[in-house]
Amino acid sequence: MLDYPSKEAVEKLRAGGTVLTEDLNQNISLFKSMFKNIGTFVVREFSNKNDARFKFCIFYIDGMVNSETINENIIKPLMHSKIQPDSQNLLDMLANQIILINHVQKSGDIQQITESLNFGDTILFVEGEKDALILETKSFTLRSLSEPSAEQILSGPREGFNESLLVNLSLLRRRIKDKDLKMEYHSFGTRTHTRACICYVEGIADPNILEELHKRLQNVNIDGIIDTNYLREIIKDKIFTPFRTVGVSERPDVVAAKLLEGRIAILIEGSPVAITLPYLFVESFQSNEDYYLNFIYASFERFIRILSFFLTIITPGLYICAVGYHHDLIPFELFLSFTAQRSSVPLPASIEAFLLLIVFEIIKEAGIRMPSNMGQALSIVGALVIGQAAVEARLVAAPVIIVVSLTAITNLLIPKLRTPAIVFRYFLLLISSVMGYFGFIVGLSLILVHLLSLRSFGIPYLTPIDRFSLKPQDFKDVLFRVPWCKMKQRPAMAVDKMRQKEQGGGKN
Amino acid sequence: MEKIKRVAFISIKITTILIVTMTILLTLPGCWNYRGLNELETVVGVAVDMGSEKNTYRITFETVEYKKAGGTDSEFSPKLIESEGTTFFEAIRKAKIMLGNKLYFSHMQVIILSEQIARERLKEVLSWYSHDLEPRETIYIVISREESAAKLFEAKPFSTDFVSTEIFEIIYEDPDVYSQTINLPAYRSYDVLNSPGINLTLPVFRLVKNGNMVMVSSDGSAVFKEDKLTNYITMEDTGNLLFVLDEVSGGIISIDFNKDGQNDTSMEIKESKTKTKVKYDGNKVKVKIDIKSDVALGETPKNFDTFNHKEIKKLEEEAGKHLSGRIMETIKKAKEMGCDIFGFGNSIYKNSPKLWEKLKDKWEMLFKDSEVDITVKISIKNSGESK
Repeated sequence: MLDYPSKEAVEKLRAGGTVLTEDLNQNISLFKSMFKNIGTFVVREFSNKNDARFKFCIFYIDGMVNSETINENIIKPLMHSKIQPDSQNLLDMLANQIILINHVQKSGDIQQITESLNFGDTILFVEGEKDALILETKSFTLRSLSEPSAEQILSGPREGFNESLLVNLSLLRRRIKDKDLKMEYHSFGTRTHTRACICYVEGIADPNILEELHKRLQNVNIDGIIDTNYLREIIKDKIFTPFRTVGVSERPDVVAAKLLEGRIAILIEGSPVAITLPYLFVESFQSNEDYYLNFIYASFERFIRILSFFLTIITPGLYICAVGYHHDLIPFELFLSFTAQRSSVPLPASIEAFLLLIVFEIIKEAGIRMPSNMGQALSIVGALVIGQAAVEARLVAAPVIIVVSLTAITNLLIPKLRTPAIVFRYFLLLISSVMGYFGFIVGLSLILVHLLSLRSFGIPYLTPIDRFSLKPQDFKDVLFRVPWCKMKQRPAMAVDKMRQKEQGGGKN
Repeated sequence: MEKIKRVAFISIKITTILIVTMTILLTLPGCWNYRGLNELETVVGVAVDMGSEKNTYRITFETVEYKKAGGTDSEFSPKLIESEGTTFFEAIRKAKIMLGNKLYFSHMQVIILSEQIARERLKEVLSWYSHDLEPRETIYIVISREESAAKLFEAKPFSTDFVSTEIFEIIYEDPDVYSQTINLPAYRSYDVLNSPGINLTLPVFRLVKNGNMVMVSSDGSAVFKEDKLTNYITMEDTGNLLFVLDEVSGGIISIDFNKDGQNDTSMEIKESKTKTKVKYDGNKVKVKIDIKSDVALGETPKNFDTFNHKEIKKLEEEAGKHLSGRIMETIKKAKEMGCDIFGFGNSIYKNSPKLWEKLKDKWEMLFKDSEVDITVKISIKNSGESK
């Protein structure tokens, strides 16, 4: 990693009386000393062909600039033009009449100049001038706007964010062409200087939440932010919870819809993952596709997702309750077949289930980490050896394989609840193994208590499930996704005066 | 800004409350402990006979034998274990000296009593049932008509794997199909036994030969006086009894419509409702039984026009007459036995307990002299013709 001059180093230089001078050579040697040992730092000196008195020097960092722009729009005009110094400042004259760059800034601040250099701008020094010109020449290769692999859908917009903040912001602005869509720049990381942008629609987003967000962002004190998750964990209401209280998405359509719901988004340079907040529990079951498909189908799918969440958490625990404590819960025929299966298995049911769940987690993790061309081996080992052969060798009973499979498959339906699913599945398994069905119910109650205690930027996490409201508008997007024409109001957390649906307002 | 507070909601107070609640909750529930499925000897049915020595029970347990245990496919077959003891519970626990696993009763389906047990010890057996935690409330208590209760286990179950489940299914599905077997779950048997003014009836089973296979078959019911078996009644009588008890929701009525000595018409009961009113006018008990049945035609006599309303009406009346005659017969038999299996006395007890206090001592006489009036209204709802 390149060690660019840090803020402290620049401060030291400035404190030591190091300032820019009118002597070009002195400025060059100053920058050379600052960017010592940085191979990509380029210094190019040249002069005007008509009048050799005009000596120039440009600095830039190779790879972050567009060489063609520098050649054609900076060096060429500076070398070939007839420069006639008049009453105005030379630098102003160059900027106004010679250089063909869209964004030019005059600066004498070493810190600003070094920062711009690190962003990919080109710095122009002229003999006899104290200040420098910062010329916008940023350019780097970008990943194309492919559909994010973690959030694929069947129908609907297929664009995804990429690693460039500006591109991502343009994707949002293209969807919400409203002057009220505000984008505030921030910078995080004492070394990475990562640019971040807070987006919200003024008038829909709650100013209190925005204020709270600003307050929390002030507390961010970290040397580097590589991904939005760094920020996410810092600004969460409660850190020790498996639940997500700040949302993430890689899709501009999702973020745009959330903005219109009155949420706030944060995008950062270098990560395609945007943060949305506040994030409520019901959002875990909502998919962007719900809004692009027939509402009946979407509602059914949502029901399946909610069911899956419960299944993936309770199945192992419930199985242990049934075979370990409350055998009379099982229908007689099933009981016989369970008993037949279990009678020759060496381990107690709970340990068996626990081990098999761990094995499943191992297979899953292996599937993510291994090189993709080794996938064949995994599926053979996973499916055949552990599934079938273990049953035939009477290491495990067949029902527990079914339990683990059901757990695993339902787990895949709710990617946003992966962490709570893992934590609470093992928790319920453990408490059921020790206390049976009674423990199971106690465990479920504790989970509910935990859920009720959560807040996302001050909004109760279970909104609107936790309230005894009879207003249909509060439940239009919870269990069912009602048709668009029936979505009359924004979700409850948007500021109240704007809850009435606006004409042409998107997702309300 | 009141809403937004970055406060973790678990304060010390709430934690204390949680800990206290958990402690109380953990100590309150009854006993329950981990028992793996492989530590159980599942009892499917129990047959109770008199023991070889005086005043002992011989209990035969029908349990499960797992062939090809484990693996992907399993088969089950019954296996029998016998045990003797001076009390019921002792006999059950004594079985453990022969077994690696403890007997497990939660999936028990039936208790079969021999005639002798039913004559002498019914209350003792039901007493065990009502004290023990494991057996379900919904099992059936049946009487064996063979020389011993365990003899029924020699039958070959036809549609299920065990004789006990076979008996259970026969009784369980009877009300909707044939309505000629008493369908009384054990908890209700216990209730009936302890209710005034009604005599307990329990289903009777025996072995029948079907081809070269020995099978179990329902065969009427046993009538109890107090807790002693006294009489048996036939299947037909049981069916009539069920009509009076309003426990019919299916079954067949066959009649001879053309009066040529051969049953030529059958109807399937779709729905049946019985209302019984019992009155005491000072010296006589008057019972009014109102039966309303909706039926569908199953077979009709030749030349019968199902679209002719007069014919239908005539058939309805004929069937009603037949049914009330049938029921009258059974009531007569019951009066001869002196057993109020219909629960007329219980009806008085429920409506006016004070009156019952006066009548209960002479109830058997009153029942024998009671006047019973039956009106049956059969409505043919459906010609049943589909082709």
